[in-house]
Amino acid sequence: MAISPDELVQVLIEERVKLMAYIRSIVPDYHIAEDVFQEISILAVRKADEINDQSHLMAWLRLSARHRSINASKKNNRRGLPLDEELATKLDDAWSAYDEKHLSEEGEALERCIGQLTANAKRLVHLRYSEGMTGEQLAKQLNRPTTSTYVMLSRVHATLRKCIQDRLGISPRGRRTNA
Amino acid sequence: MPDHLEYDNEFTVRVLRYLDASPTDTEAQELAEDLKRDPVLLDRFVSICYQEQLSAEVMAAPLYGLDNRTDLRESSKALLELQRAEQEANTRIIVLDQTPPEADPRQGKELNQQNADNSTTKKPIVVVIPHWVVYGGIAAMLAICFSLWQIFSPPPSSPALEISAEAEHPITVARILRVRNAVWAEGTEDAPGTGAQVMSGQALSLDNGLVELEMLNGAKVLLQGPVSVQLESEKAILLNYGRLSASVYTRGKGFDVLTSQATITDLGTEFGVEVDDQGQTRLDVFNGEVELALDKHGDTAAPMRFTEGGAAVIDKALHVRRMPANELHYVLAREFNARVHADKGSAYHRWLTMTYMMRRDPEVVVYYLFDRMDADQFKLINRSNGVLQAGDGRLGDGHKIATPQWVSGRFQETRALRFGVDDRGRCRGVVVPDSDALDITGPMTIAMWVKLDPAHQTWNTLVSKREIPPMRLNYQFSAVRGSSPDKTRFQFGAGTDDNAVQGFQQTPEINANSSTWTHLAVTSDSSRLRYFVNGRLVHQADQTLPSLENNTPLLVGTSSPDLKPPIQSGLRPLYGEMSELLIARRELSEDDIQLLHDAGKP
Repeated sequence: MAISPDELVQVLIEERVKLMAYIRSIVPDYHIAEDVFQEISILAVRKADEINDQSHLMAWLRLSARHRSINASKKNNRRGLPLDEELATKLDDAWSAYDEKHLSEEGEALERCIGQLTANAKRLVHLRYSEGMTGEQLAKQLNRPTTSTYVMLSRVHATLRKCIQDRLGISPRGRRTNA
Repeated sequence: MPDHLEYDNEFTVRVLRYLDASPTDTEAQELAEDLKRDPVLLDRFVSICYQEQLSAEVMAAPLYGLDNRTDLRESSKALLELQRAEQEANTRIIVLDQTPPEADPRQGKELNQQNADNSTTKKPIVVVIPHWVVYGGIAAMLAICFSLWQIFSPPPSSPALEISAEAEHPITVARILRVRNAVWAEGTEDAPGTGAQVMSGQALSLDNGLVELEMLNGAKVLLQGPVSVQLESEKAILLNYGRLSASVYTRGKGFDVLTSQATITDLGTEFGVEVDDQGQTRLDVFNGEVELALDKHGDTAAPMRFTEGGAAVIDKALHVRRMPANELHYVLAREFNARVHADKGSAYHRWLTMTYMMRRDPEVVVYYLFDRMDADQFKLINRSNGVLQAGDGRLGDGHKIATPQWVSGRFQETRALRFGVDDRGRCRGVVVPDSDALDITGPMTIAMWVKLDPAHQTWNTLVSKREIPPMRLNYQFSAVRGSSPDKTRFQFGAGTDDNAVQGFQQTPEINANSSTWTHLAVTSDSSRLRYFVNGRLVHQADQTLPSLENNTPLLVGTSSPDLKPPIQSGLRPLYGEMSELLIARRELSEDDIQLLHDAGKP
């Protein structure tokens, strides 16, 4: 039995963050990644009759995303991760640990963690994620050296990661844990 | 640790530079080699990529954010319609893969190869649509929607005009994100499903079930049937009766819930509102801040502020009574998530859904879920909603009782406590401060998940509330080693001294000391004691429970360190693990116990 249209749309919406993150791990340019995501979403809708269920859909989406990301990277002559079979397999294994992640819980935890940041860190987060600034653009905006701006960003990253882990009980390697 | 942290930051910087699309070929190649070589770096790389995308989504940047999710839903729906249309017309559409419109159509990639292969009996008409037309069409559709929005949306500085304009020209103000077991009220036309648009002025009346809305301003509203609302605008909803909860974080601040008595304005928060059958409004704030302004004969009074943990009830005379917030009064988004994931087959969420039901039982005094890594590692948080408002357990007493150790639980998302004896010979245990609610004065239930060590000691204390001196025992639930190491008996005892306990029967010998989790429960209606193992009744006996009270803490996983021979010889900790504990002041039914086991089974 094929996946229902409503279910398919729901999965595309729910899995968008993971898929976009997966695509950007292969081809970091945001606009290309967005194009790839749109393409595979359209393809998924077109192929709905051939997709059995959610897990089938997820496996299909990731495989399609990988192939199309590599192609898009080559066509646009943009740098991406030089994937060979070994790295592609390892990358897929690492991403599979995220299949069980519950976006709404993590999003909620992240919102609260951002709320706990210092004013300077909040500004940095706002500029990067609301304004979409790269490290270099941030450096210019804040009138700081690029390297130290990236270090600041990495510290905010670490703080938020730790905060989310504490809230959700996730191990440092990204998996739910109990210890 | 500092070296590791420094290294971690250095790697994060590399990945962030990579994601900014600014690595050189050499840097990208080196990154790939490092990821192949080191699985820890690979995990970190994936984690950083994920966090970057999640942050962008949460902060809802125009490029990344929720607006795009809406577009995606429109795009997907539009494509589905297109697909249906083509099926009806027996027309197949081919989307060209990155091919210019003037290129040879034969270069196009056929999307439905299987259908093409099967098309010998009924040859379809082939219409070639380049991808730019498909995308362009969607973009055009969105542009038209945007234009209409602009036309019908008044300037932001004229709120009065906004209402009248919306009344004359209903516009989309929200979408239905999720629906679960919804029973719409009679008369609801075209029961809206997932993805449906909700227009300004539209009423939604739900007899039962749950419906989650996403307002266009970003606020999420969960309607809990029976409930009746009317959507006034993208940032205001009128609650006629029933309950709703709202989450309003980075976007959507200034979202209003209107009732006949008040206007409730969020300031970036999570809260619940109820209008009861008397028309009285209740507000509970779970995070952040909320303003409540009474509507006095058409005039809005000065707003009152409520912060996290605060709640208020407005009576008919518009008097506001403050009280503590109660999140179990509502179904919040996390409980809805649990139910949705349970529907999809997640064992953890099946259990979590059950725990919400148990937590709402006013007779459940103590309910430790061992579910999350709370900020305080040295506490068991009491999740019950019963008479015992406190009831958090402290791990160890810092003196005679040692701290138990956190270990893996029954599910990946939960944990367990390992008891036993520490290297200084002290029993490990949890100490729950004394409360009258913990004394047994009538029917009761104690239920838990335990894993006994294969070679556990003769006597293992599961829970104990006994006072020394004087030698007064209230109650104790124990596991007693049977005739062989793989056999265990369970015994609940109560009385004024240890001798009284001897009169209490033990269960028959049960295989419960393996490496698997076992669910235990003992219940009493005051005159009959019943034992359940893994949801099944294994033993019952007529046994009148005395009504006893004492002023000693409840101990979990150990007996009192002050017990001395001959009352007790040697230490009596639990040699094993515990992962859930419930104490109720009523006799749970066989069905309840079965549910506790079935839903909690890993």
